[in-house]
Amino acid sequence: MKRLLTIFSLYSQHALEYKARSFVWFFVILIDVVVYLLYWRGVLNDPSGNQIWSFSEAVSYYLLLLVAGSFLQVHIEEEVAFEDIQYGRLSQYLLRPFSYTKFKFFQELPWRIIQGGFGVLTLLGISVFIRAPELITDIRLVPLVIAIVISAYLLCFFYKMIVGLIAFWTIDFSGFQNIQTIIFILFSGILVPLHLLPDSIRSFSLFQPIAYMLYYPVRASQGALGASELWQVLGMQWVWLVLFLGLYRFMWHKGLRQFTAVGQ
Amino acid sequence: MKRYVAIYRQLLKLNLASLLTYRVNFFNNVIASIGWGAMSLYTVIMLTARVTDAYGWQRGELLLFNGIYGVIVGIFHMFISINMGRLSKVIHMGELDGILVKPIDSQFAVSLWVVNFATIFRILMALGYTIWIAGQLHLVVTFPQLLLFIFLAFAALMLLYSLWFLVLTNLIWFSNMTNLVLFMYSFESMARFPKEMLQQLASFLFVFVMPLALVINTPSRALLAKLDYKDVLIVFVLAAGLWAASRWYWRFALRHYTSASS
Repeated sequence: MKRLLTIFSLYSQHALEYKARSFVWFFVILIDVVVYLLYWRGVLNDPSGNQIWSFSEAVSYYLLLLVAGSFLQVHIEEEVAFEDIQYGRLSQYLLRPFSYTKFKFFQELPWRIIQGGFGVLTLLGISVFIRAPELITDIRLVPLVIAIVISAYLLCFFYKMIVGLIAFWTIDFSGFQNIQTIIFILFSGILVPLHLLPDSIRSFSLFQPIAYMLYYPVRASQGALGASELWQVLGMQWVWLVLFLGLYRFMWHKGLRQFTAVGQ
Repeated sequence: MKRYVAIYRQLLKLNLASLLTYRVNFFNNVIASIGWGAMSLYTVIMLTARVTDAYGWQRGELLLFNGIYGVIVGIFHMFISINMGRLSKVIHMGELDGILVKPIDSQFAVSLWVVNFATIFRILMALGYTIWIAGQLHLVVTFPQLLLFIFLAFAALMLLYSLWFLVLTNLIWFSNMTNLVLFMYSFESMARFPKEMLQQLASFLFVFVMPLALVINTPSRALLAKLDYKDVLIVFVLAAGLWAASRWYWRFALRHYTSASS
């Protein structure tokens, strides 16, 4: 554990040294949030728009999505695929007395904390000067919401690691990266809250694992879910997590057998 | 000029050969490209599912707007944005030296080296969808309107390219910020929405976004016969001005480039 905390400490220094990179990642999600809020502002001025949801609900949802997207949306897949697997740097990790997975986990965590920090600061600024978002009011449910947030992070981390490991079997990873980015945007609730989707796709959207990475943590933080629903969300997160863990281990062992690195 | 045309023809042949060599990669890129195009349309369909208009644009007009976005941005992604992604990796991995020693203009080399043929399918899909929506709206497009649309689309592409290149030139100093490419994809996606929506931003923010607001707006308005000729002038002036600025800034940045003994 001490070694892993040392890794965390080293990469915290690295992340703090490259704060601008974290800020750019934060800006990527900020642009999406601002654009969709601008859109809903115009639409919900139309009296028929208010039947969908109110502008204050929209502001609350997207502000919390900003924080959730900054903190929970892991970006490790590019480094795993391009730098570790395709450029062959994975061999360095294989020679070290650490688990590659744990190394990557503690390497990514400081970046998430810093970007989450940007999100929280923006949220606080907007809450003080413009409008505070609707948050959960029942204190007894807060530990459950925290557990959902932590589980969402673990789920996103292993999902992105699985995506990164696809590079074991492809020469050009960018095609897969684009596909997974599209899927993530479609089903995470970034575009439109999943409960506002048409009936034909709503049930599937609410069930699939990506919804448990961003959408459900945001809804839980808003206080939109009751205690039984929160337990259901947590349960489903762990079901998906166990499945992802199994898939990850399978891909890791299979992928390592065909991995070759030249001149590293 | 003839020399660069010949070089570009050769590059096209090399890119085609690469595509035919790695067919699975091509297939993946086709799926991704069509996926992005479909997602762009899906976004507008979902956002307008329960409303009839937004910011003075009817639902049908917004869908047409996004079809035109798919065509123009599709062409941009086919020829330019793939090179911008390559530029970030080339600078970060210290491979820019190999490009700078070539006896051709370095901006040409970094901007036009790779062609993403897979994006043709996205362009065709967007074009087909645009023509279908125009039919649904009973839109009558005259030849002068079409000609003006093509000129404006070309100016819009120049404007987009210049914006991207101006931002990504900063990678010479900040080579670690390879995620600037993703930032630009996200920034560029704002062009999917009407100018009237983006004008809701505070004025000091709208100044930065304004060139983007005109990129799809102005060509779309040409087809819808709702053109403001002031916007046409601004698009052409901005396109020329920003292209000149991008060229100057690239040369300025190269004076500060330090190789990593590649």
